[in-house]
Amino acid sequence: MAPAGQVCHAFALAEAAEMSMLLAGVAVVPLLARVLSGAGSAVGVGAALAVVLALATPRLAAAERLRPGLGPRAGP
Amino acid sequence: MDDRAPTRSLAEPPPDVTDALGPPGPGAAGALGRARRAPAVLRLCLVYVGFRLVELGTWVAVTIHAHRQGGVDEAGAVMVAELVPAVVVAALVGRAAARCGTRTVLVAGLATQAAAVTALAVAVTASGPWWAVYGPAVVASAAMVTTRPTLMASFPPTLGAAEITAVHSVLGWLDGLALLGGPALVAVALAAGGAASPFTALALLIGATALASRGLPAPGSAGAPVATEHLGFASATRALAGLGGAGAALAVLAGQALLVGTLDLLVVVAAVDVLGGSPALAGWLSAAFGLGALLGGVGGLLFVGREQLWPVVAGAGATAVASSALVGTSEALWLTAPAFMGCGLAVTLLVVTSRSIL
Repeated sequence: MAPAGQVCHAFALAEAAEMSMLLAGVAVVPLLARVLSGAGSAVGVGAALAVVLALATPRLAAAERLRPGLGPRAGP
Repeated sequence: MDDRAPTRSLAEPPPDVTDALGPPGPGAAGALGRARRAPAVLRLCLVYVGFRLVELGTWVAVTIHAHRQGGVDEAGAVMVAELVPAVVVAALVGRAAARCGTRTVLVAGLATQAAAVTALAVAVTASGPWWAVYGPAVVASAAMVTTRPTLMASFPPTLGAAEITAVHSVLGWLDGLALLGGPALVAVALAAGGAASPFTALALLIGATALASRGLPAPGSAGAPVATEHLGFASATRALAGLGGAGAALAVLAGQALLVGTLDLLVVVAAVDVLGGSPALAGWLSAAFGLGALLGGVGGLLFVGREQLWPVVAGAGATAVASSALVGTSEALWLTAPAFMGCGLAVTLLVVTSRSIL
């Protein structure tokens, strides 16, 4: 477990990132609605999410391999 | 500030885990049992669910009020006005916690929310001017971003990785509960009382939550987090940059938030414009999202104690992408409702796993 100060800092950054993205999500619908009809903006945002995941998942995998503390250390 | 405070690496097991929490049990149940025995975890969960109910309820209640006053334009403007200061305050929370202590920031943030939501209730009851209503709403929104980071830093240091994932799974389940309960509380209060009733109920709830947060262990007491008060902003940022995967976990959290922000508006578009239903249908689609989130929180327990969580991130991400594509293309309720449910489930799993990694 990381020190509480680091945890707080990390989650504060996550909060800022989430709020920024919520703001972007609220703002992006009217813009995408000009190109995609109805609820089609969801397709565009889903595609953006797919790109983020394609970039982030290999980094998470690499980080977890180097960080055995996340495993079932206290398991049977 | 003293940046020389002792720290532990992520890979280093926390000391005295079995002494403090009892012998390890099998799988998720064992991890949950050990987490439950840790001091303050139940109170932490109670504070979290109270906060989330009020956060989501206030968001919905203010949006409904703004929509009644000035339609979609005013509702959109108020949403932006609430989110912009929240982003700024969120960026400063880590620094404030390093300077004043996480518990101080937690209690002060909840007290500010209680004062702001009470002012909001008074202003709506008295049919006050727009600034008297939206001013407290903006203050409440900005104060709300202090709660989650400080609560997450209040986990007892005796918890191991499996217990942390178990607690995050429970918090994910509570998120789903709040996604259903917050808007439901507003709907019931609106039906039973008047325009001000939801704010009165939410003010009472956040007041009780703020009082409950005072019972969390103070720094330095048994079961309280270690090194909370001695980590500088610069050293925290450097340490965070040095932790592999933190940036990627933040990117995943940001990506799911983008989807949630979009769905906040699209739920109305899908219900009214695409499906030709009433505004109430938007409420039911939101409930479908909340139900999915609830299932995602329960499903998160299946992954407690997993050696690696990235495959769960990948699977949940694929589900989120497929479900959002279905939301965007479906013109039938029997497809749209499960698609929203799939989004709720996937988003919750992304949050649970990313936060556990973080």
